Amino acid sequence: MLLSFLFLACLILLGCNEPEKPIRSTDLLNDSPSTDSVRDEGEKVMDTTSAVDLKDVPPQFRDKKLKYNSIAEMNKNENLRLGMQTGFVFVDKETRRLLPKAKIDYYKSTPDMAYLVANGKLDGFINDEPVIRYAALENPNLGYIHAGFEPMDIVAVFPKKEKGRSLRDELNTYIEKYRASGLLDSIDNLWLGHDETRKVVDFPKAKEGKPTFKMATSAINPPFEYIKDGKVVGYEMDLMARIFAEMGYGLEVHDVAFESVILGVETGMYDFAVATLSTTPAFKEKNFLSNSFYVSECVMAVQILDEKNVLSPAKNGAASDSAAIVEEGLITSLKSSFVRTFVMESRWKLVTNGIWVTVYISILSALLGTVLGFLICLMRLSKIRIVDAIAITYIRILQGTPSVVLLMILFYVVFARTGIDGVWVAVIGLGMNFGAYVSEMMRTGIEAVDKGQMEAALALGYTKPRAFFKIVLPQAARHFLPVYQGEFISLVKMTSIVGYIAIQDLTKASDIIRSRTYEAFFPLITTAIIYFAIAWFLTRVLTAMQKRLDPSRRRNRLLRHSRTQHCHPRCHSGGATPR
Amino acid sequence: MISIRHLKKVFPNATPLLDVNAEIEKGDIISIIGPSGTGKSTFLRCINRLEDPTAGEILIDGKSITAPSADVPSLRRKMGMVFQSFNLFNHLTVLENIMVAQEDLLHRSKKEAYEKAMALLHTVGLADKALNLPEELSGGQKQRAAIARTLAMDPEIVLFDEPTSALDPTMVGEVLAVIRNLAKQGLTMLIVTHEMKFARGISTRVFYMDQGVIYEEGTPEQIFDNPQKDRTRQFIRRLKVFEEVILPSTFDYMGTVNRLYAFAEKNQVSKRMSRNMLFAFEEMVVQSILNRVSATEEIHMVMEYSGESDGLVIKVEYGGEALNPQDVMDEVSRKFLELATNTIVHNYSGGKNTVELRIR
Repeated sequence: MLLSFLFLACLILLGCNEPEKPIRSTDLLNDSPSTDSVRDEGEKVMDTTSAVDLKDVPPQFRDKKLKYNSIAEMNKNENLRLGMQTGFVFVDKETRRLLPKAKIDYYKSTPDMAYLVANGKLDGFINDEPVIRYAALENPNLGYIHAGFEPMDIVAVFPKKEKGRSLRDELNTYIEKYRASGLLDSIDNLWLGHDETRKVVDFPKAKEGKPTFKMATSAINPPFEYIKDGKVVGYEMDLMARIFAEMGYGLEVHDVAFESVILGVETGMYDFAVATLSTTPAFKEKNFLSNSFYVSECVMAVQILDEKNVLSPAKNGAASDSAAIVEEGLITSLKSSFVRTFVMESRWKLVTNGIWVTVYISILSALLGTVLGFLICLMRLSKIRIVDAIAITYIRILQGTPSVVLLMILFYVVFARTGIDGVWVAVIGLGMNFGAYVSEMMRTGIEAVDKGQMEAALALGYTKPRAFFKIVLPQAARHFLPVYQGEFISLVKMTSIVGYIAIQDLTKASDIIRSRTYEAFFPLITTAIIYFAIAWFLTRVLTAMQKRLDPSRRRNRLLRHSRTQHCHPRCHSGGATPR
Repeated sequence: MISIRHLKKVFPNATPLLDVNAEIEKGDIISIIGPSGTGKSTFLRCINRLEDPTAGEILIDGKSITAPSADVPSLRRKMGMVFQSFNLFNHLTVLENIMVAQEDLLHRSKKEAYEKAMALLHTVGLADKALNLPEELSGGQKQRAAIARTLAMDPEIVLFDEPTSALDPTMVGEVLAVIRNLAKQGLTMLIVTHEMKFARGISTRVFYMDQGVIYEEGTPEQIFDNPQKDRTRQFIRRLKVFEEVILPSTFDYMGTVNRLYAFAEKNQVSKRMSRNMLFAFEEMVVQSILNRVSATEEIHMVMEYSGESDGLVIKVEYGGEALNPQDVMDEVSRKFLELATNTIVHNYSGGKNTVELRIR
């Protein structure tokens, strides 16, 4: 019941939002005083009568009814719930100082928080002004207020090493050149403008004899960096691509989780990071920072309360038959959600690619894990104490380590400098984890086979290894395959964590799509359904394998086979009746 | 064919084989009998190296199989083994059970293996079960299939490890019949069994195993009709035995009486007989012998009860001078003792008194 209500609520919301967007976008983007001033005048009359202090509300939101008009107003709410981008250390500290009573939840992407604030689930979140302004384009119910932050420089971050400094210095000369020539402003206009066709970034290949650099970013922060048509684009990306092209260097972009960006730079995995990073004291101390190429103020996103009523009175008024509207709204909004999620910017490519990556990692890590698990199982069964102890230690450690942590350790520590592809790190990490579980499964399966089976095979003259593979293992497989199947499905679902190490799997694809559509419901439900379908399909494959091992089925096949032949065993026994 | 010399097997908490010596000739059918826990199965398992002997030597056709260099798998191929718990391969059909080792180890073609398997299934009467799984067979059928599996390898020797012990009494007959048939074909066989009638009928020789050695061996007639040693006789006649050494100086009357009671109760000796037994013990051992032998003289008392013939015999052995207890007891006691017993025999030879009483 609850779920279907939620479903309807979401759809209605989405359906209603659709037509208004163009108007809102223009409003927001044409931030120039000339267009706004006219309306501003009218609003101000109204505002003075309501006697609300609007000094913290930007002009374009003064005609809207915001949930909060100032930080002081927010502070009055005892149950204030705020969102916080994971990894925003400085902003986090400042927010706690400003709003000591607030309960803060951590999120991985701005679009998720924008969606929650627009729908009243969160009271607000803080991010750079352009980011929230951009998010408001897609969420008509999202506005923002000034929070008293000083404008901060947005910079590129380099490791505190000689190599980092020289690259930083080189970059700085270009930043200053661009600033002087006005190129910085024109790139800014491009990415905050409407001409979608121009929002393209070409990352340069290295000219002959020049190196290629690895840049870490977290493409969840439109308009600075985000994914469009399956590619990383955005203001910062464009700027860096242009500068590196001019320098003659190659530039490789690595899209990772925001909290992993700096980690990756510090461990030497990436050469530098560009991810809407501001000059906070911590950064200054531990890294080399470039000159500022953008100045941004952090603001507080808040909900616009009356947006729907103000903008769609006609629709609601005409709703004599609400059921018809719901139905019509449902179909059209489903359609538009589908189009937004899959068709626009050919996002289906992200999804199909994500499915492929998920299936690929699942199967490879299952194979690796099974082989590894078998070897560890043999070690476990060994009579040599120390070998057994090593196997037990391995199993205990792997079972006691969260897979995410294991993956991060492998990616950022163990394989950090090898340049090995993240997919392989994921296969190794998940395979190691899977192996620990498989080995215990196999061991119980093997130990469940009666000892007499091995003895009988030995007595016939089989060698021990041959008897094990021919007689014991097939019987053990019947014991452990059902459990194995369950563990394999867990593995498929566990692959959803590979986004932490910069792999675009199905979950990451859905994150990216949500960061573009500012919509949670449709992409998430679709992702769940796709995971279910993958799991279902792989289960079927395993079940089919299991059936091949079932002796009674094989017998029936034998029977069918022998019926068509002359030498049916029953013939020998004369009048014996078939079972 | 097989020589076993000074075979010893020690487990961490038991020593089933102390010093086993035997010669087995081609065509021998040897039944190995004896109380449980006396190493019969261990003996068999040592012969095909399912257990590694602690010490000693086993020679097959003059070749040592206990040497470290011995090729155990090929040696086992010459020696079939039939297990108490059948051990058919549960994931294979009966037919596959019999074919698999032929194909894998003797490299027979599928057709050859199939024909051999079907022929053997006919001889054990299971041709119509060829495509069944072991779990679908009765215990007797499983054991017959297991025998067919063993025979398919054309072994020179077959070791049977209590082939009927895990079977329902109704199914014992069918399995024994199959083994009897094999005996007629001149196969060398070693059979650990508790089926005395069967062992007597089939064997050329019988080993009675006890106390870690082959305690007595001979033809079935010798072992079953005329066993030379007490333990053999007690086992063959299924005698229940109570044994106690009494020292006059430390004699604990109540303790011994209690143990006698427990023995009688455990073996369901009739009330009358156990009363008579206690009376005889009291009058003869306690009153007559104990009082007259020197304090350091050991009195060895054995009681044997046979459930089959419902007979109870008390044997008392003691040293010193000749002493017939009947001579030293008073008239009333002697009369009563005569009422309680069928026969009383006293012997004195080599400084040893023996008294044997058959309790009524």
